[in-house]
Amino acid sequence: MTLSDSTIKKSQYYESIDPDVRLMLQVQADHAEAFEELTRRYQNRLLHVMEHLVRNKDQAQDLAQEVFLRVYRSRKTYIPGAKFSTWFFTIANNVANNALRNRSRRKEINLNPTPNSENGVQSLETMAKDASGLMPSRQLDSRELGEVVRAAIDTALNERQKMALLLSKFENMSYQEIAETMDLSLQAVKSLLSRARTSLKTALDPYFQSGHLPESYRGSFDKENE
Amino acid sequence: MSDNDTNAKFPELVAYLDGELTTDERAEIEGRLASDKEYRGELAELQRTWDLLDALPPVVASESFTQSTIEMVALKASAPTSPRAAPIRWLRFIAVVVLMLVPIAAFYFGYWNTQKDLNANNRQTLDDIPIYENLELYRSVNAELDVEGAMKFLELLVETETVFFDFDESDVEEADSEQDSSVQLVSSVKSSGPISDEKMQDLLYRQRQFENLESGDGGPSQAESLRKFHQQITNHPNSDSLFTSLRKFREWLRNKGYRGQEVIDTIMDLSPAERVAEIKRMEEKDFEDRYSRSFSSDVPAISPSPKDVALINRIANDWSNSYMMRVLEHLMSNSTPERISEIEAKLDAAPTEHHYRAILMMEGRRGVRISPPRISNEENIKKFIAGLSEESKEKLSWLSEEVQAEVVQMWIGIALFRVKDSDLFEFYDNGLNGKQRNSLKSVDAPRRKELLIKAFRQTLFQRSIPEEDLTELINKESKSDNEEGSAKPKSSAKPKSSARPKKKLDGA
Repeated sequence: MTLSDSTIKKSQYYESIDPDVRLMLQVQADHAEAFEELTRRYQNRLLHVMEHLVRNKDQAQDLAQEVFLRVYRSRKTYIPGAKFSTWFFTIANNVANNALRNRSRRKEINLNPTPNSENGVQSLETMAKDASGLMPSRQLDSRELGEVVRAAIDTALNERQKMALLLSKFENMSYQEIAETMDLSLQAVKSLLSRARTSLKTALDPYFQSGHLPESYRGSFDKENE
Repeated sequence: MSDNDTNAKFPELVAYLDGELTTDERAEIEGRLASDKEYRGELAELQRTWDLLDALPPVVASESFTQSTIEMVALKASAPTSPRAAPIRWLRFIAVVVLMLVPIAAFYFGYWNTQKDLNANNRQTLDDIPIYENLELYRSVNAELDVEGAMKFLELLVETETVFFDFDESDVEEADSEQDSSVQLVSSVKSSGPISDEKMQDLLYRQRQFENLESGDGGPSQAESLRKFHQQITNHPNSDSLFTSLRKFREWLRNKGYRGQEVIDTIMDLSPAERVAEIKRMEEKDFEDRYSRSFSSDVPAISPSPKDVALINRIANDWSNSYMMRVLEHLMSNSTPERISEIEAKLDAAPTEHHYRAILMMEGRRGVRISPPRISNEENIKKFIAGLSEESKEKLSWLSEEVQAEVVQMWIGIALFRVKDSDLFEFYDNGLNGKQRNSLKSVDAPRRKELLIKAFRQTLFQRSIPEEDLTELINKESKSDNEEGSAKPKSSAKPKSSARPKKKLDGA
């Protein structure tokens, strides 16, 4: 494989600034420990994204493993042309998109998890119904708030919006990097994120207006106070 | 929902918040923000939504996920590419095997003492179970490659005074209870207690790892070396001490973490004696670094002798307890008994670091300063100094009594707020955003650590933490005392979020 000067320069640049690129180059050179380290560095971040996208812990793990497998299989052809995380999440995005396409064909996943479901997420709709029952309500604690935010993301955003939002928030990617990762134009990323954040704001509005949670949601969190 | 369902009212505001606008565009927005209240409100709401995302629970992969991923990749990568990999099916397969193994394992353990007719393979598996359980521990000293070297290294660790002076017994025990569920597994199997699938899975993974070591290319296999090491360490007259040192070493390695991979590689290449010396050198350097960083520039940056760490830690611990008591007393001075028990329960449940945050936030908001308990009594300071090692006493002897008191109190302060590597890594992974992580990646490792410690301390002591029960608690207390406004919070980080909940905590 012959590389152009600009590719080589780019590659050297990313190698010099990004330790994860250097790690991936060690994976390329078949250092087994480097792959383990890479897995450890990225597994939580990847699972976080996948769990949001597929809303099923098992499937998220399944997909995350698929991503790591693809990373490993691509090691010999890997050329650092961007930050490692951009390259990594491009693969993750492809894997997730394939899975979501297959899922929409098979409809095998429960899209409205109940509070007792694996994720323990109650849909905003359900919570809204509870809230309308004029039940006494109370303040959210941080764990509950986390669940409410998760439910809001699940109900208010589509998969592309979720992906863009998570990359922006937790990977701190620039619009340009998100565009590369998701294979979109810069303008598309801009409007995707704008819609995503506005939708999320609308979905969360009742909760941070009142700071309350419906009484029926209380049981699982409050036992220790009773 | 399609992308078009929700149209942003002010689409440019998100890009503004993300810093993705040109200078001109930014100036235009800022101009409008200055004059348009609704526009400002929208911006604040968007920012608040963004901050709320921090409340999402973190996802932490289990150790078995990591192991299964690596093993799956190793297996699959060597196999011809199939159209669709299905790693989860592989995991399920393991789960089925695990479930099948539970009664078999119980059977083996149950009948071990009376059995006479187990075949050689079964007996070997049974003998190997303690090795599976300790596999990571044993491999941390390269026991699979160099049994004699590993034993020698551990013996030297036991003989050498204060190698890991930053780890006391309780640190190691805590780490073990998290990491080595294996020990409990053996006891639960032996006592025929219930074994969770997860624990069995863990054991199974270790077994597979161990079996992978079995296939050596001629000569004794690595598995064979581990069996030999296990024999030697368990039959050693000083077995308990060797195990303690092994655990401390493993915890030390773990604290260095993957970010210290080069350090670990260097150590592993050294002879046992050099390895101990190098660890000691690194530990001393870390120690010196920490204690030469004084809180106040008025106090001379003198470090104590490493021998005194245990004493200083103990005092710091007492100090912290007494500090908490004073804070509680203060919080409770105007409260009903129900409220007091509520506060106590909350504080009990909160991690210790939250207590310090609570103290600092309260101090800031109420304009009240609760002085940390100090060894104010001259006699007590003398007693404390008398209990120190000669080395520390020598260092202090050059100072006036007044400055000596400042220095020893600073040592306790540092021990009280010491930053462990493991806390730092946890903070790196979960306390920083991507941009902060990226900026840290661009500096070299020592500088990175220095910056990280600074940021960590800042978070711990200066920033108000939004969506935290204790924040609400402090808010409420401040309100009830009508003292809010008498002093500004120490930091204005995310003021909106922390001011959010105004609901009474007394639900009844």
